[in-house]
Amino acid sequence: MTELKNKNIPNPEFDPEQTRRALEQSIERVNAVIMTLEEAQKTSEEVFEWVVSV
Amino acid sequence: MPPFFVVAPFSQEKLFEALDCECAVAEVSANRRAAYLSDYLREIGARTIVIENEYVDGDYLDDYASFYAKCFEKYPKTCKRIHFFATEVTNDDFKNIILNKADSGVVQRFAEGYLGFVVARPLPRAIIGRTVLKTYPPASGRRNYPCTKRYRVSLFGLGLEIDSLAYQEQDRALAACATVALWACFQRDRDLFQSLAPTPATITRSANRVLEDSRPFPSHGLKVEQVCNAIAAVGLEPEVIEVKPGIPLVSLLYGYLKLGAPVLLVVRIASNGRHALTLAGFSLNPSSVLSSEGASPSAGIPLVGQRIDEFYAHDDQVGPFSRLKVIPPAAPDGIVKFTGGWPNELIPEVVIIPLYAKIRLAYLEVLPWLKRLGELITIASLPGTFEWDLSLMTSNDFKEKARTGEIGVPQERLEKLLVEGHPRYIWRAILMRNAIPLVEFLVDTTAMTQSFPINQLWWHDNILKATIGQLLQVSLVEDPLKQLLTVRFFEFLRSTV
Repeated sequence: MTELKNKNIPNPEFDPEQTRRALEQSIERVNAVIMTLEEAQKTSEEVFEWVVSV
Repeated sequence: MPPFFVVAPFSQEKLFEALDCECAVAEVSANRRAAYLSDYLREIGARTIVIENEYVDGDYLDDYASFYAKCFEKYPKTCKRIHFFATEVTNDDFKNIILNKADSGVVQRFAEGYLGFVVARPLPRAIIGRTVLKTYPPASGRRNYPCTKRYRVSLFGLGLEIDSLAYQEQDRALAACATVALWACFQRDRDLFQSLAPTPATITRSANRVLEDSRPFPSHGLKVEQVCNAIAAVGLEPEVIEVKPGIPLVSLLYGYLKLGAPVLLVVRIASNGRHALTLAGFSLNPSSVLSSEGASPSAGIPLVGQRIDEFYAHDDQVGPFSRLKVIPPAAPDGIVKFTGGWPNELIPEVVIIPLYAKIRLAYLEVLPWLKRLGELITIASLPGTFEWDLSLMTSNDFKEKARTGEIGVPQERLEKLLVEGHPRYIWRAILMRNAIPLVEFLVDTTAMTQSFPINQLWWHDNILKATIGQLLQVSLVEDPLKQLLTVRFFEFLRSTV
């Protein structure tokens, strides 16, 4: 991936194998982010019981 | 009988004297909000104070009818309203202005120098009633107050205007912090979403339709569930987000505030407990000021929140537009905290945003689409400093800005974007490289979580567009591309390059 970025050319010829490897890493990262965000969106029941009073 | 009005040069002593309705001046000076207001008014350039000695305030009157009228102790039903001006005016000048005997230039300068007002309630301790004050200057665009609205004030027949968001302190009889934080939100939401803007007494009453183990009045606080109930009672939906590691909190707050929707932030303060405040603005710097905002390290391209160093909050225990400085997380898996107006740190626990019912797709549900496209661009693009900017806006606002060129849209797409129908509210995502837009897309807020919500996308950078076009044509990697983007996004993206 670093190599691809450093090509710094407007019309890179994508090497399929190198691109596949970069994509696989990207898929892992995106999946990790999606899982984190899905987990973060689960609001615990206790939150609704909290009293806001100061 | 006191005079109908008093005009005096602005000073802290005069302000404290004016705020004194029921309690002694010494008590006023011990009120933290009064001291804050004095400093605030000096900073925004107050030179003259005009005191309306008898003013009927709608919010206080409702509180009065609900509670104070039924006290054995006699409380007055009228307040004082104290106005502030940036120009120096004598009593005679002011009389000439209101009697329309002054030169029109003098009247115009006087009106332009209007800084807002504070309603002084005739109550012990809870002196600061409805307060509408000018915001700090924009500081070259760094300070943003999207949650303000235009208030039209009539001072003895003289029309005055000010852009602000109303503030008041809690009285602990009809309203605790959560009630007044909601009250401030609803002031702006009425303009934004055409919802109701009830008085504090009505908010506490509707919140307490969910019966809890404490009496509604005197109010000692609300549960988060009751806050949600009060939001539903004005015709809006509560978006509730529990603050956890992995949430880019600063960017999330920005995403909603940018629309002009105030955010209710519940924080925990050591030795005090849970407190609610209303976020009304933010400070956006030209370059990154936060090392992190609590997002996962695998998040990739940073979000705009890393350029925000403080928010402006209506904290009923501090004052209007008080600074809430962002403290980046100490550890990569930590959360941001805040400092401002309290001896201890403010630890964010819950974010509650009253929203129009059809804004269904939440900020955190849009983020994965940014991540997918961001990863693709990282593989294909040139090096540089990237940043995603994601925020809510109305499609009408988008069209107006696109039409006048404030939002850049390629000429060949402009007509279609302007004449086509769009959802009333949209998420707008822009990817920048070195502060120059590369690509942007619009997301349908009425969409479902499982659907493909992107309905418009265009490239600002033709080189990147061509590069992505090439990458999407590499048939040997079509499967992983579809896995990364989803099939729908892959096909959609191919149609744009």
